[in-house]
Amino acid sequence: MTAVATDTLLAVNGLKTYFYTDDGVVKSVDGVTFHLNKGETLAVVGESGSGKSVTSLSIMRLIASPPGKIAEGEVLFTGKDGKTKDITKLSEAEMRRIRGNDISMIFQEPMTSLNPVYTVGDQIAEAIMLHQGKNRKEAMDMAAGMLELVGIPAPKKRVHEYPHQMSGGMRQRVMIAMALSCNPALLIADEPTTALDVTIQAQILDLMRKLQEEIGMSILFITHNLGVVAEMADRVVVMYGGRVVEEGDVMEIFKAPKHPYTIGLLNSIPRVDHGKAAGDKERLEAIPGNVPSPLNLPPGCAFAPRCKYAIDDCNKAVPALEDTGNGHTSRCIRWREL
Amino acid sequence: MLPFLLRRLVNSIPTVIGATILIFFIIQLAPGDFLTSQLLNPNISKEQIDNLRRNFGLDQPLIVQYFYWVKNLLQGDLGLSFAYQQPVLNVVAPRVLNSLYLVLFSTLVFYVIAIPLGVYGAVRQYSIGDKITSTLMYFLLGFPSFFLALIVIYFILQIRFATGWDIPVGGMTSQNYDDLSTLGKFLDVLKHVAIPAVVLAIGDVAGTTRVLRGQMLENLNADYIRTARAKGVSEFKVVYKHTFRNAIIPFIAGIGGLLPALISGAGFTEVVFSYPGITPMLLDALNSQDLYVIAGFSLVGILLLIIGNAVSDILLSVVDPRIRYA
Repeated sequence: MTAVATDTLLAVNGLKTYFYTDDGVVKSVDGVTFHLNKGETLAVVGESGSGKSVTSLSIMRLIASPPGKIAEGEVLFTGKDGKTKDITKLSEAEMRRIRGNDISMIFQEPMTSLNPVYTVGDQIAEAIMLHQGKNRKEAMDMAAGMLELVGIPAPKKRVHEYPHQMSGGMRQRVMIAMALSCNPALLIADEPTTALDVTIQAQILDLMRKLQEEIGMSILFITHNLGVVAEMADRVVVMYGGRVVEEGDVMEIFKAPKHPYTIGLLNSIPRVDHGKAAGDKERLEAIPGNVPSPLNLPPGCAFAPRCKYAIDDCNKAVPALEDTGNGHTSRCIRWREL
Repeated sequence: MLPFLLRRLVNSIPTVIGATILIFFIIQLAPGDFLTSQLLNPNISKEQIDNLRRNFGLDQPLIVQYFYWVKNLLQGDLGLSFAYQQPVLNVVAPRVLNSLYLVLFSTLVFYVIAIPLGVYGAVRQYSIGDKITSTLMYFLLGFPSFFLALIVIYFILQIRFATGWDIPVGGMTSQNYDDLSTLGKFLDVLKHVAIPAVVLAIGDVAGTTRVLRGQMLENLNADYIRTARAKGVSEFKVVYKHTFRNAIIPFIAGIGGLLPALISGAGFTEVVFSYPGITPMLLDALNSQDLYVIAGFSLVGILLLIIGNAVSDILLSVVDPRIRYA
């Protein structure tokens, strides 16, 4: 077991999650290593298919098996009881005590993430009864309190409403209330604002920041939206093709990215400060090509086929994750030249 | 809810009127009437038949007969059975009761088999057990239940010859039925009902099992199931509290058909097991054109269907909060 620094909440070491399909082994997560400190917000960024959601589901041990399986690696987590455990080795019963209690998760689709036949109060209270041994009445009162905390008006009345009576933003607030109802040490947010419209997105992000201060939990924020990253994260992990390609402080990554993929991501979002006069139209840069099929990753750097800096050496072996200074790492053999 | 039910009641009046017209005139499409077959009977003279025809009202134009029937219906009278010379209700009721025992028991067995199999097939999708039940279900799906009944009877008779056990394969009571105590009578009927009921249930179980399995699979992959698991809910509760509750919603909509099914008997299974249910009587009535037995029975079935549909709509709004009637 790798030694864990005292302020480290979560340490993912060499995690490999594979899916064994009829077409072959899909290496969705292939040796991912990162850590998350207490009270910190870590953003995991990447395109669809980069393995970021599978990473988060692996931490929750919610990978459907078969076909999925955590093939290798360890996920060290320090629970509320202060003990550090390797999540990949826990029994299903031990894991159930962690889910919703020590680690909670909110998802991308607030419209479908709540059970349509139970009231939102019932669904929040279920977690409270499960992990805190409260009776139904106490749990319902606490559920109403949670709804108030996440800014839902008339919580005593709305606790008895069904999900279909609420808007998408309200439902995501309910999901947050449910996730935070047992004061988790870690909240995994898997693209929580992607399905919401922009004004609601900002409200939800504000709410998450406010609650993080109040409860003091860490957040693992999974997103492909770099604007959200800049707003929320302390540190950033960039994933591509199932591997971490760059990791560092959020300011460092935005100011001086050390991987061509990160550079491509940053160039593909519109920026106000790109000093162009009005009417002078600058086309946004897109990264050419597509994400490689996880069934058939290139032998070397997974990004090489789309990379304008690629040289022959890039295709020979998977580059190592190198330290570029200030705790900033990059999986690019030419990071010094970028 | 109450305004909804009242509107429902008013809306069903034209349905019932339409149903009486269809029932009455479709029966009349068959040539002749109850007395036609008697024309060949040398013991009955032409005059007697004409007398009977006048007595039964069969000499009147159809439209007049129809209105007589409707007038009697409105007074709660389903008419007279020609063959039994008794009110239809008195003739049909004991047979319907017999069928009810069989159908109730069979319905119970049906759900006891269908629900666990459907849930199992979804939770252990593509396991050996799932594959075996799926294959068996497809096999049963193509099997008419009366034919299944014949096969079962054949095997039971083989067992009887081999072992001498008294396993009943027909009828509803033993010969010494009248001498038995109340409990003994109950057990005797149960013994006779068990085999046809199980055969009936197994013959029908395939369709529901397949649909339930599909419904369960669809809901097991839903986002809110992932949410439930992420909360730390146990797998048993994930399956029965979160998934099953959603998967049965379409079945609740079908519950309306259960009510008329309870009185309609077990069809050919009753004939094959020579069970004194309603089906053999209805077949006789159809053959002999015992007009009001058929018409009265069909009408009661339709009334029960209308009531059953209203009941299932109410149940649906209880099970699925997204459905509300105003």
